[in-house]
Amino acid sequence: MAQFYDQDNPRASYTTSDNNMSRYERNYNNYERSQQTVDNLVRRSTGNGNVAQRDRARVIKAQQRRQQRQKRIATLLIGCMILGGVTVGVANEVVDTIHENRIVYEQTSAFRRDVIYPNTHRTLNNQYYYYDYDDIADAIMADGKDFSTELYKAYADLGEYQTNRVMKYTDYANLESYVTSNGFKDIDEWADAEKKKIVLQAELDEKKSQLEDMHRELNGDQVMGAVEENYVGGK
Amino acid sequence: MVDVDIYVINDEEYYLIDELEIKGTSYLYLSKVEDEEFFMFRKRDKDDPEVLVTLDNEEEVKMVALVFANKVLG
Repeated sequence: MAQFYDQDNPRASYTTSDNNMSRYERNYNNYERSQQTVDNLVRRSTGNGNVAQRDRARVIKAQQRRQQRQKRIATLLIGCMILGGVTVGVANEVVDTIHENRIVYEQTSAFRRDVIYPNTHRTLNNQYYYYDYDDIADAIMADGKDFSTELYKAYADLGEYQTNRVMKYTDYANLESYVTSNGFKDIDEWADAEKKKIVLQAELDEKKSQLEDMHRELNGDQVMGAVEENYVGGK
Repeated sequence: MVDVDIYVINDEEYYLIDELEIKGTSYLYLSKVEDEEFFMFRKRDKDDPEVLVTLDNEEEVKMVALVFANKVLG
């Protein structure tokens, strides 16, 4: 069972029956439950019938948390588009970018869940958070992991200031000195390169998995062939 | 908290989530005040911007949905 972090109560946790379920997938499932489909969006946005509907709108002012609503609706939209099979024919470049953002989001979310949250604590006054910087640094430097990619995942969640505090437990003074010593102009350029690397790696892993499936299929066929051969031979 | 516009269309109130210009056309992303998951798109009439027009077809809906999602999540 996977544990998830409750921002309002970090000592509490909740579980899900699916260890691999990412926040994105949960949003997606919530979306499915809401029974919104791309058809609904199309119907509402195109109106009824073939004639364009024209409405003179009255505008009034209100206050709200705009960004939160934007993000929630964008998540719903993406679920909507995936359900509706919006992958080809329309704005392919944008689809690619959304696909890439989703991969990066999933990877950084997994790092947050597995590394950042277990090493996050509230201050005594419950106003702020502090982190086990040394443990996060250990996770970034773990054998078999790409240091730069893991560092990016930490940076994506913690930001530059907190990441610099993590860097004190590595061989580098801070994030900027690390990226410039590796030939990048600045942190943004390095972050972009890391995002691309994450997407490429995910695509490579997918191809590898497809190849393994093909191998398994082939081997299965060979086994079946051998069985048939023996059977025929035994006759 | 920020000021947002509420558009009243056919006696229904909608939050204006965003307005994006794509290929010279201004598209509005609206979500019902009562039910935020009830969202829809409209475009401004080029001759009379106060008039909101439904989109031409499914392809146009998908295109503006993708642009919006990419802007917010990108």
